Amino acid sequence: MTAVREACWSEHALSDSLEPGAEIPAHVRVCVSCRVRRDGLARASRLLRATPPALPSEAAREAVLEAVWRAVQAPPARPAWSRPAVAAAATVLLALGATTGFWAARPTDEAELEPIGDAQFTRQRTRVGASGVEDEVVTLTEGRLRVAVGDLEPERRFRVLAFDAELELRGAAVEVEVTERRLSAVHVVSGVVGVRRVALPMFWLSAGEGWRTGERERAPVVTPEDVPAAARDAAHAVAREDAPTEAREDARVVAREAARVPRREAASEPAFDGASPRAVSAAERALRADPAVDPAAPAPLAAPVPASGPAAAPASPRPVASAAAPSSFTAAPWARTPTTAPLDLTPPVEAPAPTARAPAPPIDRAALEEAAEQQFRWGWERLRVHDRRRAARHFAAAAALIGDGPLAEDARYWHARALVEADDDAADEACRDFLRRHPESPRWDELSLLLADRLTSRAPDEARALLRRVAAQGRSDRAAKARAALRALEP
Amino acid sequence: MSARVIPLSRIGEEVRDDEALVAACARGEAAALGALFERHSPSVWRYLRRFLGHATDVDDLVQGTFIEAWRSAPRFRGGSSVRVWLLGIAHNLARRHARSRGRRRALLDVLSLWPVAPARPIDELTDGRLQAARAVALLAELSTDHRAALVWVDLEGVSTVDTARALGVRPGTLRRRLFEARRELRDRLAAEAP
Repeated sequence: MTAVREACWSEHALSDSLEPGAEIPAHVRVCVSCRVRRDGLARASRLLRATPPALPSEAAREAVLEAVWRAVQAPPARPAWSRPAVAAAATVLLALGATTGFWAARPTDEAELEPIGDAQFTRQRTRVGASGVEDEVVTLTEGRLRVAVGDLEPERRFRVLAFDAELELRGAAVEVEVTERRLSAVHVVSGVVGVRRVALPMFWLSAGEGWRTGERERAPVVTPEDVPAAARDAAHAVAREDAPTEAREDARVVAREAARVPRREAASEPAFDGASPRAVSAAERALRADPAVDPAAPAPLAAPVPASGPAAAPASPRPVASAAAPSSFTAAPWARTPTTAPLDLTPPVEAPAPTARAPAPPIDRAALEEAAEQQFRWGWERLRVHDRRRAARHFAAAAALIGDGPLAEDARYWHARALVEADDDAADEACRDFLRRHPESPRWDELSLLLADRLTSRAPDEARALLRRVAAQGRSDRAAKARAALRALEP
Repeated sequence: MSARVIPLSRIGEEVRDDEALVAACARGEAAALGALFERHSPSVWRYLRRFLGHATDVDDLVQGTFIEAWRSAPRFRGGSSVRVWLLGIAHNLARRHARSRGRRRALLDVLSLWPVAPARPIDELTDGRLQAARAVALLAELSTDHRAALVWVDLEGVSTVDTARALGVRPGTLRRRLFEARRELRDRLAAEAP
């Protein structure tokens, strides 16, 4: 008895089977003719996908964003009849509010706002989706505002928004300034505040720290004592000659920053960075070892993603020295305690300016893990928009921060994958680094195949060695692929 | 004050999804528009670049797309993903833009799309690169409807159902256009093969 063979598909049907994400139909898998015709239809699209148009530069994107901002801030033209109607509606609402106590019922609880001068802002509280997170948002469009927020429940958020940035507050008091709808200054009086600016990673300011537009944005420096041994080792590792290019660049930026400290101290500037002589000498050694770095060169305007170097820290705008902070805003006593007492925003008569530099407390492993996880998440955010090189930098930073463990393994894997997908020159080294460090990883054979594929023409011996090792791993699909590739490489 | 690594708290985890950002835009939060721009402008830019076939005016159209998104945010009902919604806005703007351009200008743009003569001898270029350059040039010669279908589905990876809805055609029509576009590209690539 003969098996009934399915008739070959029309080209139209084969085209329909090319739906994104769809599997190859069973018939096409076994029918060579259909497979070839289907591949032919998909070939041009494959070629086009392989040559995506180059995206515009960051500066060009910034210019477009600026234009968008200008357009949306322009008030929409209103028909002439609307003005009296709006005025009448406002009068009715005011009258209604005055009689029903509507305004008095607005939530004031843990957050207090104090406008300075004629600050323009709105305040809104919403509940987000099914998660039930209560999101209170103050949108500041112009002027200065003092904000004090108590210790919020976990399911609550409090944010201050400008057009180009947002501040996340929780148990903190801060003075914010917005000029032409753009964040222009932040000064933290108490607590810790997260500042997220468009297109930049979030950074954190703690009590006494501040930031102002136009200040040189540089990475703060951490003393070597601040960084646990594992992270320090990882940081040294990425600064090595064979480290990926971006990681070495990050290390150089941090080294350059640290090397600047003695000059700053000599000029009697406040030494808030806290770089110890050991950090400085380590940085200077790194500079001497790398002639590409000029210690006298100006700091980059935008600090890169957290680096790893002899003295490493997350990239963030440079904190303003406390003595120069423009505020006499009092420290909020509730910032570290449950909010039961009424908030007091009255400036004290003798507000002590927070000038003394407190010694940096040791950073525990949990803090580093959280920082590494944050870097990992940022890496994934970048990957989702196909910004592979920047994703790779975040993954490298995550691995350097945490040093070892499952998260570091994941971060190194995705660092290598992102660079491979970006066809970056540093991809080979990133793959080798992963294979060296994680020989027991379940992803070892996958990355070995990727690296072997890249090395086939440039380093065939190394490619063969990798393939042999994968091929020796039994009967898995990857082992079979490796054996097939080995056969193809045979002279 | 010492600058130091500050332990990251949980608040950084709450990254808003696209729908929440559009809802925030509808409430007038300009920062949400900034976040949408950061997240989706590369995709919109790439789509417009491929659909128009040239880089001229792409920046203006990206700008127009996000301004229109800001204005239309209150009407967003979540019938499609935010990315598809933005690409739909970009597509409508691009079509309007293309119609308003003079024929002569369009011809010049098509001519300028051809790859610049390679600085190196041609035999040093790999076959794949040459073919890719040909495919880019041929894409620009497809009709607007065919090009839109191909870019949406094959290059941007949007499903045929979502694409048909965004382009305002029936799914069957879209699939036919897609097939015709693929077949035309295949045939012309084969005809021009060395």
